[in-house]
Amino acid sequence: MWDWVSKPLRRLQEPMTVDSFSDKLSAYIDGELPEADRVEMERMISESPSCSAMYEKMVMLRERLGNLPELQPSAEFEFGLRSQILMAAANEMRMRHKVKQVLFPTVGRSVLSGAIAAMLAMGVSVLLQGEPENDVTASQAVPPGIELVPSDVSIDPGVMNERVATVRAQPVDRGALKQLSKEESFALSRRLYQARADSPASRFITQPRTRPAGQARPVPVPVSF
Amino acid sequence: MLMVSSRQNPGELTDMDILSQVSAGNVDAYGKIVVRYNGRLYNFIYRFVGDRETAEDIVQETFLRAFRKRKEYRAIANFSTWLFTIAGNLAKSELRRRKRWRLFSIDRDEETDTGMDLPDVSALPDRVAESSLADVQIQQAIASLPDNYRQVILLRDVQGMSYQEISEIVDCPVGTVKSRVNRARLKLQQKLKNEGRDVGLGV
Repeated sequence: MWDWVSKPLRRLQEPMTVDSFSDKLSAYIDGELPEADRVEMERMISESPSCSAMYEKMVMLRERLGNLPELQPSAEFEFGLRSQILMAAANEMRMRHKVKQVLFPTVGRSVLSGAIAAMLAMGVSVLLQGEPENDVTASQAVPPGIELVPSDVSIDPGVMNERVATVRAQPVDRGALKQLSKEESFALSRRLYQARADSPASRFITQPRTRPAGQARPVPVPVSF
Repeated sequence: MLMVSSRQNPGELTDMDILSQVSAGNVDAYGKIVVRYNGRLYNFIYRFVGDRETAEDIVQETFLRAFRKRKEYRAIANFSTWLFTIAGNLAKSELRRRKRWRLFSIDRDEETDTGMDLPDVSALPDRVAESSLADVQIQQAIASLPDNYRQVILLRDVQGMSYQEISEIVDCPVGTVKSRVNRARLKLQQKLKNEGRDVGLGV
């Protein structure tokens, strides 16, 4: 019933064999064994002559290996290594130079960096100012002597004149026309275009065609051949 | 001027400080790194591949690669660990190349009887020039170990590295490294015992 406890205990109490001694000998010499194993190893060394001999030989071998003469490479070795390292360093520098030549082929670095800086500055200034708004130029402004009469847009002429006078009283600056409504600005633009002396439309200023109320639209007469 | 002479005092700068100087354009500073690790790397590689010329080539290549890839080095591991990793990988590649060449030359030998003889490593002049014959015998015993065992025992017992450092270099868990070191020592001991060599180990 208690085999699972007694078996490992019995195994622990069993004397160490020579094979297990030799397996652990190296670790024992290097001080890598736990305390229990170390005590057992020491017991084996003191009790078993073969284990003791094995231990002594291993210790001697280890010391002998540690005291092997230190050899030095030849003088040519140092010279060869030095020249190879210098060559490797020179190759690295050459490669770095080639990369620079590929990246900056003809233009000097200072010129190129100056150009890049100028482009960046321009870009930043454009971003800060934003898009330019539609400016009202002097030619588009209402000339002072022109009487503005709305034509076919159904806006009360009195109101129109008032609005135009208000706008005219203000200094002409950007966005002045935006103060008018859509219909007002449309009428104003139309009249301005017709009033300009150099406008080709001035020759065709005609009265708006009006049809008396109740009159039917004329029907085209068919032409017979 | 780059100084790689081992007589130069490397100073108190850390590896990272020196690498920063090198990255800033002071190539001469890399000489301090070379002086600092030259001997250790050379001894490790020489014991690993068993041949001076190859060891010099590998160490040169290690320093060169470290110089070229210095920007890829991150201070997660020690710089020395990184160097030993590069050197170990190069040495393993060299040993693999040699094995392939040996196979090739043996095949040719069987077919045409003009293949190259395998070199007698015990007769190499640099072996003979070593201070002690016992060292040569130990070196031959090390050379007879499998590559994985040879690498860990050299790093542990010759270079005196910790198990953690070795596990980073060979890219294995610490437990595996411990096991390999133990087996390598036992194999080495057995090797020297079987061949009846008196190398001061009492075997």
